[in-house]
Amino acid sequence: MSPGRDALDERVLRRLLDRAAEGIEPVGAGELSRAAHAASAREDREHVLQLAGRGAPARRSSRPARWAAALAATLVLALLGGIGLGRQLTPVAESVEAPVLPTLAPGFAPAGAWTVVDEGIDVPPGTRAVLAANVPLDGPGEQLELVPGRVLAELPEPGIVIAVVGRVATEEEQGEDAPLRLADGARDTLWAGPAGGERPLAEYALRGRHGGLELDVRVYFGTAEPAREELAVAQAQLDRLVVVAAASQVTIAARPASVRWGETIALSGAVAGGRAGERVTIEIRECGSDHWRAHGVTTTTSGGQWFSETTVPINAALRARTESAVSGGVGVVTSPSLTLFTNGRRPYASAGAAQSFWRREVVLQRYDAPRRRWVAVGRSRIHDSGGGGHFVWGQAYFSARLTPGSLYRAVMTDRQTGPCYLAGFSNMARP
Amino acid sequence: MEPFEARVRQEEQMTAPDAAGAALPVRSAPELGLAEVVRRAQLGSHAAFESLVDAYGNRLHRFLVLRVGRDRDARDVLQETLVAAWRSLPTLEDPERFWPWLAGIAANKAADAHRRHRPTVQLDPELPSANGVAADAFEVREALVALPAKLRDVVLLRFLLRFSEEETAAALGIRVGTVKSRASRARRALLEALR
Repeated sequence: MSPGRDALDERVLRRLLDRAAEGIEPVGAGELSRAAHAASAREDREHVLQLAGRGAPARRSSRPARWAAALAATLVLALLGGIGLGRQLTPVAESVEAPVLPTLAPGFAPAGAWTVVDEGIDVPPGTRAVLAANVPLDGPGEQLELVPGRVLAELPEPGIVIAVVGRVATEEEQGEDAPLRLADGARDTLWAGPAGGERPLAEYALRGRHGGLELDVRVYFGTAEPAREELAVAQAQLDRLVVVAAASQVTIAARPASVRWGETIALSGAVAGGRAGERVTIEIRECGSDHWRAHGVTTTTSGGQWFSETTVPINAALRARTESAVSGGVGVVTSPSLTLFTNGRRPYASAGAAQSFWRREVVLQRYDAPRRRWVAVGRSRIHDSGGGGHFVWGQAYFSARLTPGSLYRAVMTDRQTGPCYLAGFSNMARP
Repeated sequence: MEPFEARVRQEEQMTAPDAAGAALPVRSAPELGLAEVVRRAQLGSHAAFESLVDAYGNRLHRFLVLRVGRDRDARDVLQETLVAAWRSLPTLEDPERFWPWLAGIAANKAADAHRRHRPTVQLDPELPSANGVAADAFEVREALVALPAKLRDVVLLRFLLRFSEEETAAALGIRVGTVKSRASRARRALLEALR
C-alpha cells in the first residue's frame, strides 16, 4: 500500500483477502455431506437431464453402482477429518446412502501406559472407531476428532497416537484376519501444529481385517523419524487390537462442539440395527448438575441414522438414548453472548447467558494496529441485570472515552465466565 | 490425468489457509481425475457429487462469507448453490471447468440473496472476534463489504479463489475486458478504503 500508487497491488490484495478469510469457521465434513445429500436428493434432476439432452440415468447399471460405492468410500475417507484415514478403503456396500452402524467395534486390550477412547469420537456413518495414545487424550465427555488435531499438535517426541476406524467387511472381503504390521504400512509425513509453526510427524497407514471388520489404521509419532524402540512400542499396542461388541448401540456427535449462547448445534448419530422410525431421546447434563434430563426427541431415518438440531444454554454433555441403549456423552462448550455498544453517551457491554454474571468484570479493549494487538482501555463490572429462566442479561458501563475510528471490543475472561462458560468476546465496534 | 485430490490439494495450498489453530494439511487420496468425478456426478452419482462438495465446499463457503458478509447467510447461499449445481450439472460441458462454474453459481445465488434481503450486506458482528481474527482482517472485510457487489465478485474470484481473468469472466458471464476494468476499479477503491 505504498502512497504513490493509485491501486492495491495484486499480491498484497491476495494476502489481505487470505487474511480476511482467516477465522471463518470451516463447514464441518458432516455438514457438507448433509448439504450435498440434501441437494442431490431432489427429484427434479431427471427433468434437467432430459432437458440437457443427455438422457436420464433411468437405471443405474451395476458398474455405476460400483462406482457410486467406490466414491462413497472416497467420501468416507474425506470425512475422516481430511486426513485420508480411509484412503484405500474399498466400496462399503451397494447401498451407499445409509450405511448401518456396526454392532462390533475395534478396541484394545488393556495396557498400562495407554489411554484408549472409543466413545465421543466424531466418525462417518457406518463406522466405529477407537483411539489409543501413550499421552493424555482429551477428557471424557469431550468430543474428539478421529484424527485429534489438538493432540497431534502437541504430541511430544516419544508420543504415539493410534487411530482405528472399522466397518463391516463386505461378503467379498470376508476371510481370514489380516494382522496389522507397521512394517507393512505406508509411511507418510503429517505436518501438525498451529499455522506457521507446524512440525513433521511420521504417519503410518495400515489396513487389516479383524473379527469381521475391515480396519483402516493410522499411527502417528511425535517425531518425523521414530526410533526403533518407539516403533516396537507402537507395534506392541497394535498387537493388542481386538474386535469387541460395541459399548453403545447408539452414537452421537455434535457440530460444532463450541458455540456462542443461543447458537444452534447439529446433532447426529446412528442406532445399531439400522431400523427407521426408532425413537431417540437426546439427554443433557448441564454444567453444575449430576443428572441427565431429557432435552429432545427425534427418530431414526433409513439405516438407523438420526439428525437433530438443538441449542445448549450452558456447557453441557449430551447423549442419545433409545429404548435399549444409551450412547457415551459428548461435550459441548458455550460462550456467553457479549455485545459491545458504542453509539450511546457511554460505551457499554451487554452479556447474556443462562446464568447471571452479576459483578463479573468486563474488559474494554482497543486494537493497536501498529503493534497488532489488543490493549485494555477500561474495565467495568456488570451491574444492571435482568431476565429469567434460561436467559439472564447484564450490562457493564465503561467510563473510557473512545477514539473515533479506532476498533474496540469487550472481553470476559474465562476466570469471569467459568467454569460453566468459555471466555466471551464481543463484536468489534468502531465509534 | 492429474488426480482430482492432488489438484484440490494444490489449489487449497494456493488459496486461503484454514484458520484452525491446529491446522492439518489436506492429504492426498484416490487416483481419480476431476473430470471423471464430475462426469459421474452428471450421470447421477450422489456419492460423486458429495465428494465434489467435500472437496470444494469450504472454499466456496469462505468466498460466500466474504461475499455476503454473514456466516449464517453464507451457509444458506451455499445450500442454494448446491441445489442449483446438482440440478444443472448435466449442462456443464467441460467437466474440467467445474470449479469456476460452481463459483459462478454461488456468485449468482449471493446476488439473488442480496436482492431478496436488500440491504443485507453487513459484517457478521460475531464472526471475527469469536474466532480471534485480527482487526486488520476485520478492516479488509469492512472494505470489501463497502464495494459494489459486481466489483466484489470480481475481486473475490480473481484474488481470493485465484481464478484467471478468463475463468472469472466465464464464471460471471461477462467479458474479459469487463473483468479487467472491474478488478482495476476494485483495487483502487480498496486502496482508498484501507489507507
